[in-house]
Amino acid sequence: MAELRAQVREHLDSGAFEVPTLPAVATQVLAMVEDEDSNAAQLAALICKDQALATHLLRLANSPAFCGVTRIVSLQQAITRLGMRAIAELVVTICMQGSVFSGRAYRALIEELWAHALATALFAKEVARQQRHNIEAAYLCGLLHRVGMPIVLKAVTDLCPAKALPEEEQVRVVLAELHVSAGLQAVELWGLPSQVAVAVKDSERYEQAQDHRNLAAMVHLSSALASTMLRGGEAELSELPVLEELSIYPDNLSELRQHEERIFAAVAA
Amino acid sequence: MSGKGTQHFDVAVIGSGPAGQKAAIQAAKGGRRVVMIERERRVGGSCVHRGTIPSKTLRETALQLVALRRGGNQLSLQMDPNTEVATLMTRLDEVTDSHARFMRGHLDHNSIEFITGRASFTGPHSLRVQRVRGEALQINADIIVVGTGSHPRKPPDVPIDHEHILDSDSILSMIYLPTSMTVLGAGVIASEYAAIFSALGVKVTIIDKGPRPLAFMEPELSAHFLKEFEDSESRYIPGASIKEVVWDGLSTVRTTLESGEVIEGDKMLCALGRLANVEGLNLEAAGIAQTARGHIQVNAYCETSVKGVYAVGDVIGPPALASASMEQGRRAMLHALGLPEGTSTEHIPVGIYTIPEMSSVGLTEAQATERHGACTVGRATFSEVARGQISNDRGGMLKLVADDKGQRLLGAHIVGGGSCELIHIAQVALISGWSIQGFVDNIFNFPTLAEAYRIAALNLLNSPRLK
Repeated sequence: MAELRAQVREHLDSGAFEVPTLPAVATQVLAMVEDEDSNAAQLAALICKDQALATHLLRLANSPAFCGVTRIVSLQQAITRLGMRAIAELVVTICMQGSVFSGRAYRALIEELWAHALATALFAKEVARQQRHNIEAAYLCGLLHRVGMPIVLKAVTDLCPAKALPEEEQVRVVLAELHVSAGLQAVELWGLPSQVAVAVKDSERYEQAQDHRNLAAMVHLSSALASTMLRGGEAELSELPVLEELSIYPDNLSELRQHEERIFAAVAA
Repeated sequence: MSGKGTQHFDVAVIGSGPAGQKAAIQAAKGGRRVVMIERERRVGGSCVHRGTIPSKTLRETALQLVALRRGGNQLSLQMDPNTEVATLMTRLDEVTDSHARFMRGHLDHNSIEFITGRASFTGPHSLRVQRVRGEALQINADIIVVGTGSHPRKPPDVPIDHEHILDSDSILSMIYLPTSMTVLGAGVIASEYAAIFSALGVKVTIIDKGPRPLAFMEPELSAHFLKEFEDSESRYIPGASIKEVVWDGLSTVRTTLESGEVIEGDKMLCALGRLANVEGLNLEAAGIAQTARGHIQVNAYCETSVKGVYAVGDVIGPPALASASMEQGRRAMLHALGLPEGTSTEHIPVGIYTIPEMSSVGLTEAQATERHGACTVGRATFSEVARGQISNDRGGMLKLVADDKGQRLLGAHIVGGGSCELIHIAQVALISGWSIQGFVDNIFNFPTLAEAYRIAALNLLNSPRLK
């Protein structure tokens, strides 16, 4: 175990390891949303260039987390209905799933990590809404707070021959130990906002956060809500110290949990 | 009598905002055992964490921008559309943390016990405190002070989502400065935020039913604010009623007025009043009466309909100013402890942190005329004083209101930089019964804006109606 950990750490730190790059379309979409001169038609045109992305986006836009009563059938309609920022969120989400939360080995583990990331992001929006915090930032932070895990997983599979992959339990321990530094590396490489770095670095121990402590605590709670929804363990949720940090009373917690069904359906989509 | 597990205190204060703090500290100074119950983990209430202090921190940046523009007409100063709002409040965490730390230190220093939880009455002098985690506490107290504050009103026809359509609690959560913003309401909060965002380069449209913003202020002051506001490409729509507010799902909040006009904005701030935080207090269990507007009903000493139970601050309604709330808390506790309250002052200054700021104390010209049949007024503009020229704040104005003989000061009204500080001269003059001649006979520092008092007094004494 120690040997595996040391090897992976060395590989991550070496110039040989390549942090996955975000597809150009993700950064282009994010830039377009911030450009006041851009419009829905331009955004639709950009997304249409990538047929797989456009298809995936429509599927996700029709999932219960985003969709209203009417079914969305076109990209233009999706942008009109959901707004450019929501579309940007979806594009980043899809790109993240396709380029970072992917790989041939440890399929079940990757799917588990992805489900947790997406559920955390969707819960983070609701926690932020309740806390009167920025909703877009919370989503991105929730989605990426453990982005180092699939990156470490990639490093493991890079290092080990396909037929000699370590046991999943061992890998989980290594992911837990190394994901923060790998995540921070990625956040820097992708040029993401400082809030995302805080989510990666401090969401597990929000009380240590130097800046954006409230955001780190919100992601911590959202992650716990996601874990509870995906794996159970309701009793522990009401005992979390982060509830005191955020002054979330039992009725506030119940309100957040009312989103479970919708978020679960979105994750399954 | 206390039951098993019930804690007894001499004084229990619900809420840790300005009003609650002063009440608690006064009680501790009076030698009482005090508990403060606050629903949030941090001390300070909305004033520190969501209202006054964060908005004033953002305002400081806006003021710097205004000063730069004023000082360098040749420069074209504009905010980058991608400017993060958080970067405009660089010292916010530092300011709120140090303020909260200071207040917490003050409570500790006075041995005031601080409990995080939601309090609700179970009887006239008994409370149940629901903790975030764990079992509820039972607390009895001889004196209870309610200082739970207020929260933004959410009109049923405005779909506030805290993302595109925001209220005063969520407005500062925006990451990026919008290019345009619609503001519903023209009261203090609406006008202050409208002025701040307008100064930061956001095209702001205020929509209100009233003929002018800040209708309770001296009309000349609000007219002055309105002129500066509209000079910066922002707009005030008077006498307007809203038919519909929708987020178009793309990029715009679309507001349709009853007149048929459609106003578009990237974001909307809904600031149509605040409601008292009484929900969950279970006032019925104590028999505490409320007003028709939902505030807690109190007498001149801020005592509620239940003896020994007091209410202070926003929860009792206007003036709902932090300054007045603090005094209410202090005086309520003095009354509760049977200590002399001193002379009550009716001369509470009002400070509005618009850009430019404005401040008033005493009667307006219309109020003085209504109350005394006639009055005399005098004015001075900041362009008449050297300090106004030096600071290039020549648009400011000071107005004095006196009795019909031009002798007794009745009110003062100022618009322009520093007016919220400058007003205190008039406040002291009112309290100590200064004559208008007193402003002429006394000497102020040179060059200061205070000289405007002397000029306004001379203007008043030269009024044609005194000749």
